[in-house]
Amino acid sequence: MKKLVRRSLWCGLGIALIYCLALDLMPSSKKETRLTKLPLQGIGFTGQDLPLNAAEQNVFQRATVVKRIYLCGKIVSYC
Amino acid sequence: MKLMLKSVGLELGVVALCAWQSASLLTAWRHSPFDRMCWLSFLIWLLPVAVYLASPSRIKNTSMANTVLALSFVISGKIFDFNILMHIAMALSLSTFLPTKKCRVIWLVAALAWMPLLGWLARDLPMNAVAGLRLFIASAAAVLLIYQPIPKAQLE
Repeated sequence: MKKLVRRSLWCGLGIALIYCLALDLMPSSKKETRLTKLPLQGIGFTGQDLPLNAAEQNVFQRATVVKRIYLCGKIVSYC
Repeated sequence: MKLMLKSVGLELGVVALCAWQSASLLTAWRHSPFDRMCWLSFLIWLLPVAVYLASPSRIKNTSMANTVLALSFVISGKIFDFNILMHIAMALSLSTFLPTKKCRVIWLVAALAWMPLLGWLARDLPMNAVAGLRLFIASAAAVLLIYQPIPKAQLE
């Protein structure tokens, strides 16, 4: 019984390894779309995209960055 | 060595998979101010397992349940893209080498010492206090487990 469970676990490990490897090697746009999917408007808040200033552009360079101002009721928040 | 690899090869394989999937921890430990001293806490936290692995005769029963859980967590972490699940998987996979259920539970709770989760939970504390807390948790667990008397059944 224990042998069978261990054999199944080896199979599980193999499948997990292949799955993780496949996901890591697969080209994915997921990381970029996460940022762009942040909602600009919703219930009780509204936002606006802001341009990066020169210093920020220098720091972030080729990284994907979103700079926004949000208004939640009377609270103004930058992100 | 060959005998040990044969008996715990599966467990070591799962540890390797979890370590690979938790590799982003290294970046967090290097750059996050909330994760100061995580690397040292991790090394201290690892000591009990190092002690058990150094004497393979002490490893009589690895926990199959923890290995299964570790595999489930690592796959879930990959599917849902949650780092915390990977970190839990790594702690679970390593805990399998400890001799008793009680040891594993203590050690798993102490895994918080090196997880970025603790930095988030204790975000209102000063950063040095968080680092001290990490070291305290890891050291307490290591001392407790290294000096814990092992049941005779585990040594036979």
